[in-house]
This record gives sequence, C-alpha cells and structure tokens, in this order.
Amino acid sequence: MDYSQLPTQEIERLARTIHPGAWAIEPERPLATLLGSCVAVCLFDPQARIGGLNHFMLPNIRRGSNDDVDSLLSGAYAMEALLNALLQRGAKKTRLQAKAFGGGTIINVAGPSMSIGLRNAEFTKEWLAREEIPLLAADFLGPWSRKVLFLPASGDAFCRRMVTNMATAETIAREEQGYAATLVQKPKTTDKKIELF
Amino acid sequence: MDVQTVLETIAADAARGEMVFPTHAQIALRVQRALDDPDCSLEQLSTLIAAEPILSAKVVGIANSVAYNPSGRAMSDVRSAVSRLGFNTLRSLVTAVIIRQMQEMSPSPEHRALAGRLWEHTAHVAALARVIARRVTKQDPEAAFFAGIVHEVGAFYLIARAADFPGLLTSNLEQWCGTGEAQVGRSVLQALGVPANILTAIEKLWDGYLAMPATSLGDTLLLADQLAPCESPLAELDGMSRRGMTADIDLLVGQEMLSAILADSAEEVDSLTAALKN
Repeated sequence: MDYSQLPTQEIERLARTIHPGAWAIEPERPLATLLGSCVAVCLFDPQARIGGLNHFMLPNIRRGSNDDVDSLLSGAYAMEALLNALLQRGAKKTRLQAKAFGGGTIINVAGPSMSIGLRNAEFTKEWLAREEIPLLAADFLGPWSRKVLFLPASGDAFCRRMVTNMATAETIAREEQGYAATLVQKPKTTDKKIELF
Repeated sequence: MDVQTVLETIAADAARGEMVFPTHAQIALRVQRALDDPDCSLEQLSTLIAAEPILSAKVVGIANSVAYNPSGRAMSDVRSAVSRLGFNTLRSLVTAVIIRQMQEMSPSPEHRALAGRLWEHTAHVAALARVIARRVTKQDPEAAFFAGIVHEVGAFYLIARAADFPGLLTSNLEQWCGTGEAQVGRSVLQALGVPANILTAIEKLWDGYLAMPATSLGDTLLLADQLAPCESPLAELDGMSRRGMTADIDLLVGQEMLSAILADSAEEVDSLTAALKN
C-alpha cells in the first residue's frame, strides 16, 4: 500500500503508535507518536528507503551529582538504539537524514518543566550535529502537544500542533512522567548496551 | 450555553447565504462580480474600484508595496495600480475588503476590536503565505495570498454573529478549534464563491498536519499560520494561546534554511502586511 497517497487522517488511523521511551522501525506501516515535552526523531535513509522513529526525553538533572552525564547518556542511548537498528537493516549513516519534533511546554508554565522541552530539543540538535546527520525539518518548543506521523518507506513526516486542553495535557504529562520515573530508577548498566561510535 | 448547537446554527445561516454586508462591502461584491465577467474591461473595473475609497486605497497601497513594486516606482492612480496588480491580486484585495467590512457587522465595540486583531493576524498570514509560496513551496504566490486572506473568514463571521448569542465568546470555545471552525468556515467560503483549490488548502489548515518539508498550497498556508507573529485572538479566548512562548520551526529548502529565507524576505512581508492592515 502506498501510504503517502492517503489523507493524513487515514495515515493516523493505520499507524502504529510509539509510546515514550520506545523506538520502532517498520518497512511500510506508518508510525505515530504523541509528544508533550518529549522529542521524537525520525531517521531515514533515502537510498535504502529505511526509516524509523523514537520518542524520548532526558531525565531531570540534579545539581552536585554525576547525573548530568547519565542524563546525556540516556538521551544518547535513545538515539543510538534507533541508529544501530537502522544500520543493522542496511541503512548507511552517511546517507541518513533527520526530522525532529516536540519539546513543548504543555503544563506548569512558570514551573521547572519550562526548561525540560528546551533541554530535550537542544540535546537533539546537538546530537544530530555531532553525528553529522542533517536535520531537514524541525518543529520544537511552544505551548503545544504534537502528533507526529512518519512514513518509514518514503521519509515523509507530518506534524500537527495540538490544542491541548487540561485533561489532554494531564494525560500526556502523566505518561511522560511515568517514563521519566523509569529513567531515574534505571540502574547504571546502560553502558553495556550502548554501542558508541 | 450549548456551544456546538450555536456553531451549527451559525454554519447553517451562512450556508443559506444569509449574510448581510455593510455598504462598502456591497460595492466590493460588485467589483468581485465584475472580475468574474470575462467582458469586463480595465477601464470599467478601475471606475468601479475608484468609487470605493477603502478598496481604492488598498489597491494603490499594495501596488506600491515592495512585494509588487521592487523597483520603488510609486504610483498614485487606481488605473495604473489595477494594471500592475492584475485580476488575480485584485480578487484577493476585493475579498480582503469584504472580510474587513465584516468587522462592522458587530454592534459590540469589544467584538469589533476582536475582529480588528483577527485582521492583523490575517494580514500577517497572507503576506507570509505569498513569500513562502514563492520561495519555499514553489506554489502560486497569488493563490497563497488569497488563501491567507480568506483563511479566517469563518472566525470573522463568528465574531460578527456573536452578539446574537450572548456569552458565546466567553464560553469554552474548544469546539471552535475542533470542528466548529471548519463547519462555519466551509459555509462562509462557499457563500463567497472561493475556488476549489483554495478550499482544499484551507481544509488542510483545519486538518492541521503540516508536511515537513512543506510542499502543497495547504502546507504553505499552514506554515504561514504557524509562523505569523500574532495569532488569532480566538486562540487566546480559548486559553490555548502561545502565551508569549516562541516556537522553533525550521526547514531545509534546497541549500538554505527557512529561517534565513524569511529573514531575507522580512521587508517584503512587512510591506505587504502594512498595506493590508491600513
């Protein structure tokens, strides 16, 4: 099926949903994710026509500890998990292109959450620049939640800024906070799983 | 108040063509009909436009803006301005005047002020859409300009009718951003005789999914709407405004970034926005 010919509502209906902390590669089936302060990165190799998407955030940094290093490693883990999986399926790193979305502030405007989205967005841009993967399109920050659709066979991405009422904001925030809690509790053994390059 | 029922009533009224425009808009509607007449000459059109001071001022103002007059040769008469702009741009300007006149339809000063802010947003979106079409999405700049001018027409009509439904604009307008805007907007756009390609672009705007990179006329409009420095005041009423927060949206266009293109086109956008706002 050529998903790129379908209206976005139909793509959304047929898509596989990716939750916070997860990543996925599909040969054809569209991928979708709902973002608050988290970021989603779509990576695509236009020659091999292989693509995937992740959904992650950096855990909170506490001053006076080594957690800032852990925090960055956690972000790098999310990116490298997707990158490695794409390379294993035949993608070439030099051909990869990125599109990235999210980092919004959907609740607690005046609170510390203000900077979470910004930190996630900045990390994403820095990581991609360091890995020399061009960022073709990005929509970061602002007060919106976002729905992202990605077609892994064509690399097409669609981003919808969403009007976020209090109930939706709380649902997204709860899901993201649940994910954030798992990041804080995660034992420091991730280095064994990371293939750094 | 059942907002959904009110929105359905307003949409049904618009669909029946029950829109009463003020005097100035009536003249603009006559100009619009003349533009649809294949036998209408430049002379006839210029005479008709010259009879309507707001439209005349806008036609001359836009013809002298940087966007249409990069060489800076100013002109002051309607006929030369009409000749420079062409019929497609004129159609946009006539529609702009009709929509602007919808502001006068409300008896409430508060609502008229709201419509004034909505026009400011509209002017920014139309100007940005024209530049984005030309330099980013390679769409027809005049079609994008027109789509920008009419994209909030449903909201203008809502404000114009709000006095008939006390409390409407202070109630929760979440349904407006959901299905209401599309319901009312579709009816008003059809009543105004907006062409199918423009309707498709506005449907894309209501759908809300921006293709990244942007390609279609709908993407052009959606991107302009997202980049406009002032948003629709209805978004603020809804408690869903940007609240002063900036967004960081960018695209690679060929070898250039969208942000660089927009910085480069700032004067063109400003001149067009100012000419529309006046």
